[in-house]
Amino acid sequence: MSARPGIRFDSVTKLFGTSSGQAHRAVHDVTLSVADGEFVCLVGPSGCGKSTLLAIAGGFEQPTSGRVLIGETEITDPGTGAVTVFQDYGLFPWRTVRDNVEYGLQVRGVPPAERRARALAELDAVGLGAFAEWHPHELSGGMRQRVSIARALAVDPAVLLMDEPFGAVDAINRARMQEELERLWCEHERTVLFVTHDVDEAIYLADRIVLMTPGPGRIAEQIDVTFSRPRVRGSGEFFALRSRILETLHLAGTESRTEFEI
Amino acid sequence: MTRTARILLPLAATALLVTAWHVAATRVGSTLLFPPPGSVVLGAVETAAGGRLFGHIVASLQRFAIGYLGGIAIGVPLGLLLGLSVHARSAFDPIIQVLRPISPIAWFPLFTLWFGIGELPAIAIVFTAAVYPVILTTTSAVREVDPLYLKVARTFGDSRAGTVARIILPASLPGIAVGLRIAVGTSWVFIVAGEMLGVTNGLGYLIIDARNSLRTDLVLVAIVIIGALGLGIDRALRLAEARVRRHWGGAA
Repeated sequence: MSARPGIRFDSVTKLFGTSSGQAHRAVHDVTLSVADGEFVCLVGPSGCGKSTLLAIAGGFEQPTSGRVLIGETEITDPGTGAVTVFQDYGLFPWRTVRDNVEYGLQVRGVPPAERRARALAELDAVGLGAFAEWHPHELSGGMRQRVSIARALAVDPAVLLMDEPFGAVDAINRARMQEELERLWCEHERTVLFVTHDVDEAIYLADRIVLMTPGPGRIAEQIDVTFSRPRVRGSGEFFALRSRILETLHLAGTESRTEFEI
Repeated sequence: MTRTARILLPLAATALLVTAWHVAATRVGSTLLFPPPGSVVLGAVETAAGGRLFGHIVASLQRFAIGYLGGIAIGVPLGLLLGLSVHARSAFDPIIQVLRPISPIAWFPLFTLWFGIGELPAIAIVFTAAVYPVILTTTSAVREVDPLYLKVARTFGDSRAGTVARIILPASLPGIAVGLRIAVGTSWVFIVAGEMLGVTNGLGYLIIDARNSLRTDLVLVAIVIIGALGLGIDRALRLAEARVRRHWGGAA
């Protein structure tokens, strides 16, 4: 239907220099394709390179080798196709909620009246239409993250990158946020690359889960989540998949630890 | 502390000071050497009656406003530049650090040579006292802008100029407001010194003129007024600063 390209990682490797002068291999030879409209979760323990991968997709980091493409366009800078939603929202406290959502449109030179209408529509979509003239500090953490998601969606990005967006939200609200995000995604089928270390969150949201393991950061396994949406967190298939993922991560964890001790 | 205590304590302390002053002045017994509070009040009434006192106050406030606003007009853009550019900072920061600890009074001889006798040297002294704190606080306010805001600007593809105007400037405004308040305090101190030479009105002139005619009561009138105005200006800026902070979401 839409002719969006999705996003493709082509043999991406990222080395970071360390203080001891050695290169730390944060991401090793990752090749990954996210189709248009697909929701992919990167899951793994800290240090597995999932956030580095997202930073590269967002244009914030350059790969040491390999490349990331949206369609035929190589990502070399932020602001070239993917928009990142950050864990700590990054809302501007001096702007009202609506002005925050208008920001990306303002950058793109959208005239004020249209900007306003689109911002209000996005706020309605995340259920915050009534809070348009509030300031961010008057909202709860979950509401702030909804504003930040509305801000990203307002510019209709080719790819939405989400870096543990609900990590700072309390557990009860996190479940609600996941449900809302899924609803939003079902309405528009946007391409989403979502980083989390919460296995349940990934199973609830993803079309495909990419398991990553550290030392060096690489893809251990990819799992298509085929059961129907909205998913039931207590269901048997949910539990079965969860055990399988935890087992994979655990095995990979012991394996790399053994390697490390040698 | 209760509300009444907050009002009563400073009043009581002031009453105690004035009483002690009165007792001490009575003991000294010379209105010239140590004028008691009563004669200072009479002196104030006397100068105020002819409208002269009001004229002095207006003259001082005008010079101060020009020098201080000039300091902001130069200091804020310069601070922005130093905050934004590592190169500008490394080039100019040492110069500013050397110039900053020099008392503005030290420049007075040169200022009178350059600007002549009159208004301008006094204004230049206030300017000199205001400009450094404004530069330094603006620079650090710009450097302390939350890096996350800048990442948001980048992910939405904002240009450099757009980021400065839409993000960096508003984000550093609370920090700049602090600098403006600090500068008002440091530069108000120097209006008196600036007016002690070459001008024929203003509170600094009033002090020198009163001394020349041996009116120490009027010296104290000027001193009390300078203190009261300084307090008033500081309070006004504190209010403005608090407003900025509230509007900016409690420095969220």
